[in-house]
Amino acid sequence: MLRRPFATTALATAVLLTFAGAAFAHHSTSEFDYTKTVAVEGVIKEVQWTNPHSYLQILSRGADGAITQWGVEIGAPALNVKLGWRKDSVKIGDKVAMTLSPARDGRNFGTLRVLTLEDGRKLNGIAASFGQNAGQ
Amino acid sequence: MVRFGKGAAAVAALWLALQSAAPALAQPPTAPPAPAAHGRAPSEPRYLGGMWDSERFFFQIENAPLLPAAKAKVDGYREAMRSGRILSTAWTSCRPGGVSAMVMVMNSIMVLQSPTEVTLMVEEPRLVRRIRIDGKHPKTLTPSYLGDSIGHWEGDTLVIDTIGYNGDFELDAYALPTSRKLHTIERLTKSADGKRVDLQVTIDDPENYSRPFTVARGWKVSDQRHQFEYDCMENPREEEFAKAFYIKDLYRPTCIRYEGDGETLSRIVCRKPEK
Amino acid sequence: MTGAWRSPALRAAAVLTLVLSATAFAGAARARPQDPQAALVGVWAPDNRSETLLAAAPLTPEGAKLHAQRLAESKRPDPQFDRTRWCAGAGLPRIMLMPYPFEIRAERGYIAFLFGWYRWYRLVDLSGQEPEYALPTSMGYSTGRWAGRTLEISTVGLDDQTVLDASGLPHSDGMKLTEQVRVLQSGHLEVRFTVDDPAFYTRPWTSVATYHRAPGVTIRDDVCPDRIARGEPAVAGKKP
Repeated sequence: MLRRPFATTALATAVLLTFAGAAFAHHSTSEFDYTKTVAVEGVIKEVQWTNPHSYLQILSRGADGAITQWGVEIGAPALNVKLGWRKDSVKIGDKVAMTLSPARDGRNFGTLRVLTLEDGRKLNGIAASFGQNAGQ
Repeated sequence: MVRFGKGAAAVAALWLALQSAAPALAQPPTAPPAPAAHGRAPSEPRYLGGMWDSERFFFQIENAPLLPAAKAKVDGYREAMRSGRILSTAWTSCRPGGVSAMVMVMNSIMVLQSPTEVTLMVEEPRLVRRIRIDGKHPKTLTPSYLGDSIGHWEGDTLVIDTIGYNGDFELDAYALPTSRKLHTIERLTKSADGKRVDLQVTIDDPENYSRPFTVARGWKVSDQRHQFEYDCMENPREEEFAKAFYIKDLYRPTCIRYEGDGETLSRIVCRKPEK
Repeated sequence: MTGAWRSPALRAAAVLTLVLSATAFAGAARARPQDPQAALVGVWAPDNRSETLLAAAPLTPEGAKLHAQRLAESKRPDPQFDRTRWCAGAGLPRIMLMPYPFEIRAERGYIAFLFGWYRWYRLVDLSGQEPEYALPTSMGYSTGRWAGRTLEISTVGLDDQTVLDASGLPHSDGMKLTEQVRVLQSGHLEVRFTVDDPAFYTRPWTSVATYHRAPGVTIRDDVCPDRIARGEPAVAGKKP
């Protein structure tokens, strides 16, 4: 499957796209920095099961006690179903911990790597299988 | 023996003509059909009906023989991607061309086949292609995303000939161009065990490519009875367009009022484009 | 053979009577072929273009409140409950009510509807197996069975982001939609829609829609975003 060296962002994205399927057909996802991983914990505020991308909004309390909101792209419904997600996999009010690859422009926005529910179950996003050196 | 005069003979001929026009009249009423067998392809090689899955998803056509002007454009798109822009193509703006769905098909394809038409009902990107068996292209055609498709059998291969594309779509996620001169020939052959379809898509567009070239794809029998759903226009969010590089102005969103702001849930709701 | 048959006038009258009966019979057969599945096949267009369910809906108080909000919103320029305005899917039963023709095909254990609006289609599975689904979708999961001359379609897994009709009648993703589809003696197609959704309705309720054949019409590819790009409405007859 891995036919090309990770020579440029575009080619690396090309390799990533081979694994990713649905969401990446939609766009090149060069908006996210796959070399970085950010950890966010919080409470689900809202769930959007929609095409072309599904999203979660998380309310996260920082060390200083202030609450920030993160938007997280979690995939596309046809792809999520294949990754084991179901309609009620996450609900408003659920406490979750996530790792995500952040948006390059520094907003509180990213694409999901792995979501861990309170009972320890894990659900993958598209970026779950991407190595740390992807995109360089 | 009863003999009829000429007038009566003419009326009798009409009666016979009506009989053949309404064959159901000649048959006794039929009971409603029992639940039909699930739509799996039967063993005939010249039958492609049933539910198929794309064997593998490809987002890119490799080694397309681009003419210099077209190559310069495509190289420009790659530069834009490297600088962090997102290519906005016909596909991402929810109006994919027919051949794009064949070279980048993602999930399931339901094929209906009657003696006169093969119909491809594609889950993602959602579209319906209608191929007239032993049909002819009309003399005048309004260019369209799907073109006009006619098909015939060569041995056990269905050959689909399509012209009349509008050139307003790209072949793949890297925005390989098409023009109104595009002519595609697709060859579909079911495997001997009936479990796969081999698909060869020949792309012939002298405006953009130095010669025709062929892309190989495949379908496999699906075990699903229902297709899932891809509704590309369902939730266009502001983030989708923030870094867009529009291959054509046509792909710019006309949905320009939005709720939410960046990180919060945003939707884009359409109103008439401002002058 | 009796002498009466030697009369040309009588013979002609007899043949004419046969022909006229044949014509009437043939006409009726064209309007409604004997095989009920064959009778469904073809292109149909709605008799009523209001895009609404005509029966009075027995809304719960919550449903009535939501519906009233939407009716008020529909008088404003950007009704946000109506996602067809940005070319998102209409869902069921609404797509069956839109002012566009559709074609019915019947092949190998499926009934297919090809809609004249934005590439939408639906497949009804006649295999008799219950649908399993992982996520609700706008068109849900339809199974069907024949009961005499009526096709009964049952649809579940309909996501709650759509509305039942253009007036904005709500539904939950627990809705079960039943459609009884048959071709009448008149040759019209009749669909009886029954909505069973306790989240918003106090009881199951039925609304009827009829369609006429549109034999000269071919379902062509319809690309809704191109209409919006030209400043036209996403759905014919609506405000852009």
